[in-house]
Amino acid sequence: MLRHHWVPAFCFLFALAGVSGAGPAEEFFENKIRPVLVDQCLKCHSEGQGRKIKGGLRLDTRAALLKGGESGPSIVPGDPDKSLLVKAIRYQDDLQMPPKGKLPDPVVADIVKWVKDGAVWPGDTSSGPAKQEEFNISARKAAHWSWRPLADVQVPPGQGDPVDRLLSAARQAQGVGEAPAASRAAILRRLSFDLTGLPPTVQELDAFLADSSPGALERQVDRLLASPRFGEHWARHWLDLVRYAETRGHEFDFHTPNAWQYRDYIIRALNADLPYNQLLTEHLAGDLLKKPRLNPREGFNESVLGTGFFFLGEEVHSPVDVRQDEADRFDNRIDVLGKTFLGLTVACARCHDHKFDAISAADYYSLYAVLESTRYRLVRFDAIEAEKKLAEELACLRFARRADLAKALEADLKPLADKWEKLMAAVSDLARQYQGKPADPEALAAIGRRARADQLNPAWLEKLFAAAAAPNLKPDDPLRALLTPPVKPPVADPAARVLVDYASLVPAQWIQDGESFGPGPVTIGQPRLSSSRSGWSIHTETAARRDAFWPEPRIAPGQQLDPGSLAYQRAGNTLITPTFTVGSGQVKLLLSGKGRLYAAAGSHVMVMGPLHGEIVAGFDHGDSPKWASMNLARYAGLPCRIEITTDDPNCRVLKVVEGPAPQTAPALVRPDAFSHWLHGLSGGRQRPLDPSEAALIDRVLTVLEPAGPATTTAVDGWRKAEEALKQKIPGPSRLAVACSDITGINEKVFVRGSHKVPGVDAPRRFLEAVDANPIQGPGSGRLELAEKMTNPAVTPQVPRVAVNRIWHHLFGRGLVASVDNLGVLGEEPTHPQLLDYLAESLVRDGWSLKKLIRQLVLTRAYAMSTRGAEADLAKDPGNKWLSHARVRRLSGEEIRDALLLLSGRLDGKMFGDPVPPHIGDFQDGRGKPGQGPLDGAGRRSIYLGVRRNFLSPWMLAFDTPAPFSTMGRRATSNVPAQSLVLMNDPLVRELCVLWAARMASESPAPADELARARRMATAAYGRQPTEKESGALGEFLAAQKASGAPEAERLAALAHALVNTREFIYLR
Amino acid sequence: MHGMNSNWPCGRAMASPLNRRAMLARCAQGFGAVAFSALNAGNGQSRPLVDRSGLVGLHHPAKARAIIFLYMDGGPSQVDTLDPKPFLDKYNGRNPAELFKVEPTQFNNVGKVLASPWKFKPRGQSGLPVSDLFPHLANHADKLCVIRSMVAKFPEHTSANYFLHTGSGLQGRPSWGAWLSYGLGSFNRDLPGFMVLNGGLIPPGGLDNFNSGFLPSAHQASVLKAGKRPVANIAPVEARPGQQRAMLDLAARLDGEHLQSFGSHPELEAAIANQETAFRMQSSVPVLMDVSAESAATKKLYGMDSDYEPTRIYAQQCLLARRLVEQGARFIEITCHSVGYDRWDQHSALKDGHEKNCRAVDQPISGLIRDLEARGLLDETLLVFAGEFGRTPFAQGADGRDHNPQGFSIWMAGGGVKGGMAYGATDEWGYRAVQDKVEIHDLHATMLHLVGIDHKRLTMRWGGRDMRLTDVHGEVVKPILA
Repeated sequence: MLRHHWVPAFCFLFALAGVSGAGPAEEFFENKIRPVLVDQCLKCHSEGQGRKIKGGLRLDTRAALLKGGESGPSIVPGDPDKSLLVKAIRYQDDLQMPPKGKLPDPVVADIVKWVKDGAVWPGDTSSGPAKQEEFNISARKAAHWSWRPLADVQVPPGQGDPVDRLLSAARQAQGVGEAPAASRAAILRRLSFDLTGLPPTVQELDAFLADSSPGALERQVDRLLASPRFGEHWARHWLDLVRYAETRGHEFDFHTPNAWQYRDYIIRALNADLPYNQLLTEHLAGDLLKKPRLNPREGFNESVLGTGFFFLGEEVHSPVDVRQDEADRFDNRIDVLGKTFLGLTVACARCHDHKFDAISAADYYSLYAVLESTRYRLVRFDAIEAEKKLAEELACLRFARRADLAKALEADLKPLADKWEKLMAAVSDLARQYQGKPADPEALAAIGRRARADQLNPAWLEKLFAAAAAPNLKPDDPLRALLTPPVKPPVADPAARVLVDYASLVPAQWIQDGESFGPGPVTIGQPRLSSSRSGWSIHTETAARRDAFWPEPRIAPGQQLDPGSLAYQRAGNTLITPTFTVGSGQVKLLLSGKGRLYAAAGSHVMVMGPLHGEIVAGFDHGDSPKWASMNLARYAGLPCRIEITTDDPNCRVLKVVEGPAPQTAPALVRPDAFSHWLHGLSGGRQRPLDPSEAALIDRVLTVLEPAGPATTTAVDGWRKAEEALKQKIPGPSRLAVACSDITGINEKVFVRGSHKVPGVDAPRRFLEAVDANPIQGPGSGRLELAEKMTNPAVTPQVPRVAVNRIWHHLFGRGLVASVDNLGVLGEEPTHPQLLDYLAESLVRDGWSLKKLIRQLVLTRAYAMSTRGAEADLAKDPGNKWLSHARVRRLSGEEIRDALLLLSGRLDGKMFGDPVPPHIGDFQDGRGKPGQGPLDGAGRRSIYLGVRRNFLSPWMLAFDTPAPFSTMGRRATSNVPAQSLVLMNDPLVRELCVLWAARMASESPAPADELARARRMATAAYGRQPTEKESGALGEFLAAQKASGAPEAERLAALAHALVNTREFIYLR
Repeated sequence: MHGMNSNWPCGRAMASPLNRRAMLARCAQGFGAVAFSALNAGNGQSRPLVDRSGLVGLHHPAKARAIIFLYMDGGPSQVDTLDPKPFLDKYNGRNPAELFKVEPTQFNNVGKVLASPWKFKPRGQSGLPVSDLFPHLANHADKLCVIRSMVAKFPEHTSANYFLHTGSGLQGRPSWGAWLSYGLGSFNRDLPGFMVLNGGLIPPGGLDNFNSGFLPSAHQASVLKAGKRPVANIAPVEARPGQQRAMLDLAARLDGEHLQSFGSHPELEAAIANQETAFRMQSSVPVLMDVSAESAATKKLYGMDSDYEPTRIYAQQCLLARRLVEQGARFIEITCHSVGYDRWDQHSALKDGHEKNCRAVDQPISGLIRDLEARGLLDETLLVFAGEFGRTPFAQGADGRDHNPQGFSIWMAGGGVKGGMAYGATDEWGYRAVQDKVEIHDLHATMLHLVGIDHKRLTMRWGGRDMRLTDVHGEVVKPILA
């Protein structure tokens, strides 16, 4: 299972040389070294009874030391400074041995000397290192059921649904019977809660009981499946898988911006019966779909919202070690991804190859690399699709208009082109001579002479001279190129490492959030619309440029931004450099304009304190590019990218380097620049322009305005066309957490889970047991992963996990009871054939979850009574073979929602901002939110705010899981705290009072008090009360009356009693 | 309750319970017998109801049957309390970077070497040094086992809190009290095994520090507040007397009817029993939490007559802890009360802040030790005094210290540990542990060992692994065992 770094052969030769003979070296070893090894090291680093060898390292033979452990060879004889053992005992770095305390200095000195002298070890003839357990992916894959392809299931012949036939066969084989059907009322209540999380109303119950026509049950099932309440209920199941919360926990419980958009996405997806394979694909790669799913009513991009699930976990603000923090976050993301979709504990392979399953540490780090190649963002999901389309239109428009303009310019500028060289030479000569004295009479005379001599347009020469000789000529005025004698081209500073140069970018390196930097770098010399008097200018560099076409991206009111130093609007106006590895950390960016910088070192986004202040910065450089600096030395070795956010159309990004600030390049103006440029406009350029040449041309054109009517017409037409297109710029957008792709990078295995000890390469790919091919594309590869995962021929776990979860919710126990773990340590399927039959059906039926649910709830098995025969109970106490239906306690959400419904307080409003949670007296701590209403504004529980550090005590009492990892199977505890909630929680009381009051106003109002009580019992239990029960209700009311309680109070107390019965909170 | 075995729980390594009935019995353990015991206690002179004849333990004989964790939230400074460092006096005001390698800290505002403003003296027979910050506690020096070589993994509060409480820096793992409750249950089988006496300051990371994680939720801490309503939903909401009983009687009748017509079911039966327990708790829990009947001398011993409010509050918590130990609780954590500073987290105002924090806890803890001793309980009760990390020997600003997980001090006393000793050492600066380092995992292993649990064998299968409090680490610190 471990990968070894083989020691070069010469070491062995050296070692053998050291063994021969006896002398002071041997004595030194026996006196000074061996006792230390025995006392201090061998407890962990030698083989012993039932003991694990720590770090895979043995220190009981010389060969073992030479071979080393997981971190590589322990010693290099003769070179203590290169010997890991020496580093460890010196306590220099992170590896510190012995762990409990540093050895005394003289002992350390002895060991150093011993290594330096060749690490002589007398009499060591042992053959060497301990043998390691073999880690064999294919053997493990072959040995475990869940990797095997879906079986071609032969359903036993007979009557009824195939599910019942398969169940019956299993029961017969086990010799257990089958319970009779439950009452119709019980079935309706079961269905109603299982499909919508709410009880049937009295009206629904009456209608169903009165309907004896064929298909009555099917109609109820269809009604419930079509109800919007279906998605609300099943979304809660799903949220348990993705550890859904709206805050990030940790010290201050900062919000996860607009997290609830994900919750609404899930509700809509389930209600719309989004095929499960697509649901999965959207979770992994909804941002990468060529044709994302658009919301049918509002047109926004639905698919991208799925990717938000990655970011619903805990986050730490300003961790001291961001890489360690990233490793912890990613571990959680991989854990959730693996369990939710694959039913595999992939995250177990974080520190070593999986102990049981066919998952290697390399698998884990290949997925880690996928996450490293993925960027967290807030997405403007209302706008992005419209903007993408608009950006394409804009690109086409510019292509055509630029060509028109080029033609006009070629005609209009011919006279200038013919005279360019002479004109420039003249301006250069004169301006140098009369610098700062443009009004000098001698100069004016000289201009006249020169114009005549060189046959130049005197007006042109005058204008240019006046500009170039002006005493207030700015230092960065391009005309200065004419005043300085030409120099040879600058040499790049050899110490500076170019991280990205937008002048020579490959397309895959062009990454932005939004469209506002256009389809790629702008090209030097190309004309563009501008605010100059003539209405156009030319690009003076090949650079990334904020496109003035796009205004500041607007966001809808009430959107949350990230907390902390990244709390500015970054969505839609951010350029992202390719990912690089931080070296010295002295990063410099050549930029113009104004904007903000964020160095995304690791994946750290919670910049809150002074500790990581260096990774955010602002710049305000004006018109010409200047160098901005960032000191990222703290992040040396980490993958990093710089994000440049700006709404300034003057902002250009030219280059990012690491190292000393490069020299600003001197001007390089060659005489033929203008003709090259003009020639190049129509695509015929012979050599690239120097930026100072382009700047000079642009400046000269601005001063002279030599273009004629053809140009003016072309520019006007272009401008009008763009103005028209601007009308299509979408309005304000909402924001949601989502993924986007950045540079695809690869990772190394972190040896024993430590990011400080990099091991072998782990290129991006899926699990080796499924597909060992590395990911080919330039980005994260998430879409490729999704394609592999949704192919049941290679990943049969995916449909198995999905159907098993549905089964778990409908039958109370999965066919594989450990719903999140189909691995070796999970449980075996009770009905493997049935599991595979259902998985096949799911795929065959277009991955429709609703079809699957419909089939299952219409089986005979679903409708069985919960009362098992004594013999069956004795034979199968765990009810593995499903001889009867399982009793189910309602969830905390269902209990609360049912109470709301009964009381008439339930507000059926769907979606939107979470209702602030009601914070009890016993909930305290940092980040305490404002108080929400006791009754949650009557909204269903799924719409109550989920604040990680302030979870609802009600829900916790009833086993709603704390959101830290995938929890497909909730615990079902049974504790007095639950009784206390139902007895004394003020909300229960309030709703009981409301319920009682509603009975009096109900139409048609029940005739008398007992009739009301009976109707309340019917509503609570989903069945008519029996005679005896009615008697008990009547006696209670009479006694209450006798004690002086008014009617409303009597009925409220009765309601409270109903809530405190088992039947209210259990499904039978 | 349904044949619950009074010796439960026993084997914990099994993947699933023997049968549903046993599982339910196990899950049903909760709060009930607090009710009985407190009612029986009557006059407040509570008698132990627990059979103390056998400190059996789960894997080996236990030395302690209860743990009181005195949580010093925020991180007290070791060099000002328990770990004297003359070097700091000698080099006071020097730039630490010239003297030793300084690690990044959360605020990275590294000041000068800062001598302790307090004097240390050797105390008791043992001569164990305790600073002047703890005048009362110093009298118990011969009972204290100070560990001076603690190390933690995280330099900021929340992760360090999770790490201290759960053995992992991440949210969502079971707290040590939950592990203990899971492993041993409560001595008094209906009393929750794990209780937190909330002094007002919930540590960073929130209530999740006290959660049961992937263990059954019955093992999560019951957070108790001093006052008339010590736990949530403990007071009846009915308008008139007797109405609640009548309501519950009707519910019981309907439950009876239900079981008759739909068939009996163990889970439902357990839930019905829970309701009766809950009913009794309404009166018994407040009685248990009411310390008014304690003698004046006892109250004075703890400092309940102090003119400093935080002392009075902490005194009451310590006294409550003793009462709960008497009733058979397994793990009691006491959180601090605010002294006007951000817990023990003295990034600035070290002098005033530490003085006030010490003043709040010194006499109450000292009273607790004496009271437990007088009642013969100290030998079987382990006290643990610890923060999530220590503080830097150099200043942050002028009068503060930053976080330091690389070497800090805690102490233990009582059941199963040696008194009057210091174990391990930091370097001459009190900055890094250099001798006999004790990891948080080792602390956990040692605590479990003292209550009779082998930390390697207390497991719960979750997420594909047999999880442990100590993960894959931890060694019992044997030299401190009595």
